[in-house]
Amino acid sequence: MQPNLKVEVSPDVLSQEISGETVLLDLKSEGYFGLDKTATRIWQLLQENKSIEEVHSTMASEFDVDPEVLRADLEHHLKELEAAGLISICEAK
Amino acid sequence: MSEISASRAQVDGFLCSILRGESASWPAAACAEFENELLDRASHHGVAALIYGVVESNRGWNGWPDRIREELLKASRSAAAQDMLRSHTLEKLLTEFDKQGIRVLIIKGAALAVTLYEHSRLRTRSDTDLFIHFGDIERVCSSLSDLGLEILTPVYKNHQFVCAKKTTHGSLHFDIHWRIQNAPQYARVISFDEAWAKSVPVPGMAGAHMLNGVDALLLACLHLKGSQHHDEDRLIWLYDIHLLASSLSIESWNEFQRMVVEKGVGAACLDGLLKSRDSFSTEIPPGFIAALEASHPVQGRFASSNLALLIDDLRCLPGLRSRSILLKELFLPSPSALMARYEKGNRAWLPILYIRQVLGGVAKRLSLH
Repeated sequence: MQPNLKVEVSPDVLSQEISGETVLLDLKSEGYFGLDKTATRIWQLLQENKSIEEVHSTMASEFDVDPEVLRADLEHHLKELEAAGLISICEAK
Repeated sequence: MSEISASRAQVDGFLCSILRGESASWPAAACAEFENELLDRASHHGVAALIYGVVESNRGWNGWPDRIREELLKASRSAAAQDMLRSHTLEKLLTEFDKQGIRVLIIKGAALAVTLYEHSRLRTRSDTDLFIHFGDIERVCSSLSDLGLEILTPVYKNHQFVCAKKTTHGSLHFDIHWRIQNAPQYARVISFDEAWAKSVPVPGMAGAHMLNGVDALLLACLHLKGSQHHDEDRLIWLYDIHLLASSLSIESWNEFQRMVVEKGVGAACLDGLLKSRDSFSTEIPPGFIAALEASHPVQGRFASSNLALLIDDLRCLPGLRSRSILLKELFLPSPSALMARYEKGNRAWLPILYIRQVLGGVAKRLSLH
């Protein structure tokens, strides 16, 4: 995934946090999704309009994880969110 | 140490102590039966998400079995998802009503969830209750249909009707009330116009209105008494009463006392408040209990009779059409509804069933309650 890509959170997604986890509701599909604590942190950063590179950089500073493993996991997670219609990935302006 | 018996009373007592803010430490001698009973009772009382929220915010999980914590968390996740979908659908409904110039009050759990609870998901509810003016019933029905909601019950005869929006996870139900309470003895305790005049804005919902605290407490107390199918000791309803009572100023308590005495519902309200006090140590101002004990219900055959209410319904409802639908719903239901009600599969029974329905309906209208 190219580092200058940016993520846009769908305006049809509502979220609530419970004990560090997040419940997402997609109003279009009326589907529910659960995010664990790590995925919740990614979601928070995406909502702050961070680029994928910025999300990676912040996560790397907050979690004790190999940067390349983190990059692979992050990409995998973003693709899952995109496939579920919760985000769209586009070129940064 | 002997094992704690998993009796309902003990589990209910434990749930109440958590909601009172006392220590939530898991009982050392609790057995597996206690664990299962706790999950059952928390669900039955509608407090699973609330219990999770209270224990979590007090960091009180010490000693709790992982399984119980996980089950309560699951209930909270489900409550959060339902809460978001309900709020979103409600906002669409309110926007449509506003466009049509229809006044609506959000009542019961949906209103209390956003005013009294730390988070609206903590006040779990199976439906959303709205109170409308009887003059707006037809326009409300039309708006609901436009928004894709299906009306599932008769509109007039029970003073409320149920409509639902189908979702991928089941149906979202809305109860639309055109009397404040279904039970004849309480149906006319607060009129829509009276409630609307005293209503207050709903926080976070632009343009939405709800009952003021005094009226909401009155309704919460009557709700406990008003239905034959309700569990009068259901903790989420008692906790509503506790939170409402705890939010009243002295002036509001005086207003509440004056109103319930004047409306002849002192005994019902006192009953709800005493149950709340027993469960949650709700503080009731000195003198209030004695004043309500000394009050009397409104007397007289027509004060609360079904017949008086029917006459009043016919007087209030606008136009011949709505009045005739009311009478038809009461006395001449559809053949399929009648056969289902009396559990008859053969249409040959219909003439007898209609005679029985009309006679039964007349007798019920003439009865006191």
